[in-house]
Amino acid sequence: MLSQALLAAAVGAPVGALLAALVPGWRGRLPWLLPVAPLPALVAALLVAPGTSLELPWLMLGGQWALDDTRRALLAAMALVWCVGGLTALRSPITADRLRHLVLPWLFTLTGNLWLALAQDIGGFYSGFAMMSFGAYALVVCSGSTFARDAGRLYIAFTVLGEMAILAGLLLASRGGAGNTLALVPAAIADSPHVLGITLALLVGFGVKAALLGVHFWLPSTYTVAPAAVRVVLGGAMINAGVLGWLLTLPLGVATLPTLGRNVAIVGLVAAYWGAFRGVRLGDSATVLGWSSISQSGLVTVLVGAALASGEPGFVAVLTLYAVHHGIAKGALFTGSDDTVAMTPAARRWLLLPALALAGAPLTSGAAAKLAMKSELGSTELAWIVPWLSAAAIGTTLLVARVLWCAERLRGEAGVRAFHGALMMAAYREGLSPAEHERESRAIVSRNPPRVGPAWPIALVAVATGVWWIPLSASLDAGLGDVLALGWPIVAGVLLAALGWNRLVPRPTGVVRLQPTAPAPVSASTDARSGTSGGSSLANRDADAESDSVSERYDTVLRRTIPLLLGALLLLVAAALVAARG
Amino acid sequence: MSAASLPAWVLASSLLPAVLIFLLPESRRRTRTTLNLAAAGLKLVLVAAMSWGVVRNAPHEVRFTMWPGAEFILRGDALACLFAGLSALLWLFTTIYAIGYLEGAPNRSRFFGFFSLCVASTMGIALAGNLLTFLLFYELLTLSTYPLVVHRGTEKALAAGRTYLRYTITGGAALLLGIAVLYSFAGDVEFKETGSLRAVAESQWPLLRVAFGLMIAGLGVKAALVPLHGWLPQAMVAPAPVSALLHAVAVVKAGAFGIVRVVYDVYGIEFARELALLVPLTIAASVTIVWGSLRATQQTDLKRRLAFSTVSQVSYIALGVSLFGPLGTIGGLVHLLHQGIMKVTLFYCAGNYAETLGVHDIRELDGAGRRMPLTSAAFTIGAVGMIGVPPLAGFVSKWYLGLGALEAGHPWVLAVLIASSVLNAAYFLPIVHRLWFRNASAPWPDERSFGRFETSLWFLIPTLATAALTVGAGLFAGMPFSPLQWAMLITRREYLP
Repeated sequence: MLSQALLAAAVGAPVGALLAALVPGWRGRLPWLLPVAPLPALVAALLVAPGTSLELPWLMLGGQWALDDTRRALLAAMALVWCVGGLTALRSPITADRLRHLVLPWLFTLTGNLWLALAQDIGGFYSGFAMMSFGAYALVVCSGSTFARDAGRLYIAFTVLGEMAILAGLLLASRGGAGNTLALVPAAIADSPHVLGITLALLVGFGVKAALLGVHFWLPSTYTVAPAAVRVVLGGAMINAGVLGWLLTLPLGVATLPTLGRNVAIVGLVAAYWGAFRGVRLGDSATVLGWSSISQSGLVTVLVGAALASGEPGFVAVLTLYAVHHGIAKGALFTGSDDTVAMTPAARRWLLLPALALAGAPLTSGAAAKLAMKSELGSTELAWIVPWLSAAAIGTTLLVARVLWCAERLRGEAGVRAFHGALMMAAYREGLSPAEHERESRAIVSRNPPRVGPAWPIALVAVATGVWWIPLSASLDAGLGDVLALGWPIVAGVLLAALGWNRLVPRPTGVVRLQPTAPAPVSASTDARSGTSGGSSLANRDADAESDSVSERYDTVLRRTIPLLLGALLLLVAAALVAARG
Repeated sequence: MSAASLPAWVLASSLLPAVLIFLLPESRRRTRTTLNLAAAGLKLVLVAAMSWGVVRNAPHEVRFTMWPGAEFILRGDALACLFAGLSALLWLFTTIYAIGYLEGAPNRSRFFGFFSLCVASTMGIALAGNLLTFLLFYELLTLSTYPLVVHRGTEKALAAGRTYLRYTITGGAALLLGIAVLYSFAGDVEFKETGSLRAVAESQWPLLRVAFGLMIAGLGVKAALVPLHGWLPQAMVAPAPVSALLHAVAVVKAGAFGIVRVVYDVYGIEFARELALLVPLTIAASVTIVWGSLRATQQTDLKRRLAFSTVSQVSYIALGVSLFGPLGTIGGLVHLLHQGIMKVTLFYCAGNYAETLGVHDIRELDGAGRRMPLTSAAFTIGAVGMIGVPPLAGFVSKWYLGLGALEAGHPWVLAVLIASSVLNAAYFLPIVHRLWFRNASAPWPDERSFGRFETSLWFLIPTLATAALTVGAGLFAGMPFSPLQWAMLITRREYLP
């Protein structure tokens, strides 16, 4: 009974908040609901008794809510990230300034996200997914800037594409014997004569959200222009909604599709490297993290491919583990890298923690996830991928080092300038005169001075304790070999970053976030957004002044950060060795 | 009144007010309003009572012989209740809307008289129990709508009216011819669940096919099947409540409902399949769906865009009907209701923008969401519902249509549905974007203030009510008496005699 009430409250709380926000005059007083509304879902994920289910026959085509292990883990991670995102939204200038407009779409998107995590019926799951996807558009463009609008157009185009692919896949599966029950979808697909087509449709459809290479084009620009809080939930929670879609609908462990599976795995491998290659040269931490998501999603894709190719059911647990780990760590990185202006140097160094977790350093959730991944992959036909995945961690290390570098670079004067630059981007609209534009962005700052909120410590604690509460299929007592296997790409990455990096890659230009682009072909516009070439007069003014001092500051950064990184790493390795002996 | 005569009373509840309103002097505004609303409310109650008879499986029926061999039959069967219920509900809302819309305008007596007559004809179409009664009311509908289309009396309105008459009278003639062909060897065909032509000798089958073609062509004019749809976009010069009624309930829907009747209750779905009549209809509907959507993307006038959207969406009904199997039937029938409530919402909104802000063109809608949040919220719900985004009404339709296409063995129809959804998104989402995410760049063309609320309450209440129905029909589709459950009830009876 209590468990059922918790299930109902998980979705009921955001719905109630949404209804309250619809009352005229209340909306301005309700922003505190943003971090609170996902909490019942978090409690439900942790406390609901196994086997509890809630029947809602009047809802859609017949609703049923329940939690299994996969959903429980992902729901907990999503709710946590939404809570951290909500806290960020209350404090981060762009969102804090527009909270009145943000409350409704935020709660709407949150409702969709939580509903899909609970729904056992196809109608409810698809409804939640659509609510989340379309609602997030309003979040992406909430600053109202021209840049946000351009990115939003790309976002919505891919969203519609994804929804259609999902619709086709679910219709075929439903007709193939699943009816309205999500749990029957994988088997129905496996038995269908169109098994390849359906699998592909669902892979692509959910892949839009899960940052699958090939349908990822919306992602870098969206992450770049979205306000910090929205990045947190996009990169930490909604990406996992896509992965959950894969886990629940694809015939993982039910069908064996060697050719498709191998090709999917190869796409994933390419994504892992391509994301690192693209991201490592960029100068804006949000964009770098966006490419890192594409790269990390590549690893998830490899697992999905291997699961399809081998028909091993064990991959589901590994995928869950990996998705939860990635969501939490990425959410924390987004939270932390946004806060840097107001942070003390000591507080900033804590960014290392989620960075190391993402890179898979020993004793972090990342290590557990990667070990589980390798051991599962090792027993399949695709074992040859394992060394390639290890090497991909070099890329991950480079990316997170780049993020740390971006954060480190934005200290003092440069940080304040970057802070203003970002706000000016958010305040930019076509037809605004430079003076009006300047006035507007200054007004936003004066209303919302930079300060550190509770989001960052909470996110840090979540990452630090991840090893204990994330459902682990791999044990922590890793051997020396494991520690070495995990450690060498990180060491290599750090060395690479330290040695020849600024000679190998183009010099980044200052604090450019992006530049206005006319609607351009997809690939061109994502290229342009990386900010390697001029465009906006306003962006370039900062950029030109900065570029001379960049390499100088870069050296300073290296001197300070790298020893720290190496030290932390050595410490971790030593600790792992002790743990392994003990 | 005896219970059996309920269908006659349902009809009378709009015929009598029509007569009374014609007799009322123009100045008796209050009396007319009271009469209109009372009649609309009463009809809703009567239709509900009639539906209860269907649930108990004892439909009400009235019949008498007009001349030997030709009967006048009114029957409140499940399908009739579906259409009559939609009409009664939306008539109530549209009457409220029209009262506000015509405040202070001339010729209100004439308008509301024909308005009631139009609804009476629609009720007659819904309740008709045989082809001849159907034909009678079908033609009456043509004649009673014409004065509404040309109500403004402008040159453009008169031209649209002429086009309307040319199309619909030709269509009516084709329908008449089709019925005559059928009459020549099958007599007066009564509507019957699972059809009533099964006994026709095989040698007559070619004639059956000819009659089917003629009838569908005749009905297709009103249902705006491509290439017979030309009158519909022109007719949008009519006043907003007329457009709303035209697109959601009366004319277009009457055509679609006629197709439903012919396929299910004249031929019978299984017999129609044996005659190979369904696939051509599927193709015609598919072409219409895609063509209508394509044309809609090219329009910049809001009402014109909505009109082409109707062309496309109404054909979902014909598509569902033509897909053999219960799932397609459910999809088609439920869309009869869903398209009605969604499209009526959109036309109310278009009217609200035109009346409050003077906005007719989509490009002038920038920032309207801030000025008129409730109307814009309703528009957003209607538009997103039309695209078929869950959990709104349009999704339920599309889900069953998709399943129906697979069941009938036409997976290519899935591609049609998806193409149409993408096009719907392409012409609706930019409007939604303009409403909410752009700032008004110029003052509104012709702004009027209605006091406390964003617009007149006469406009706002119907708009919000139908928007709420759009959400409810999707979100609570599993509840008893939801459109979906009613469509399922009809379907069970069509397939399981």
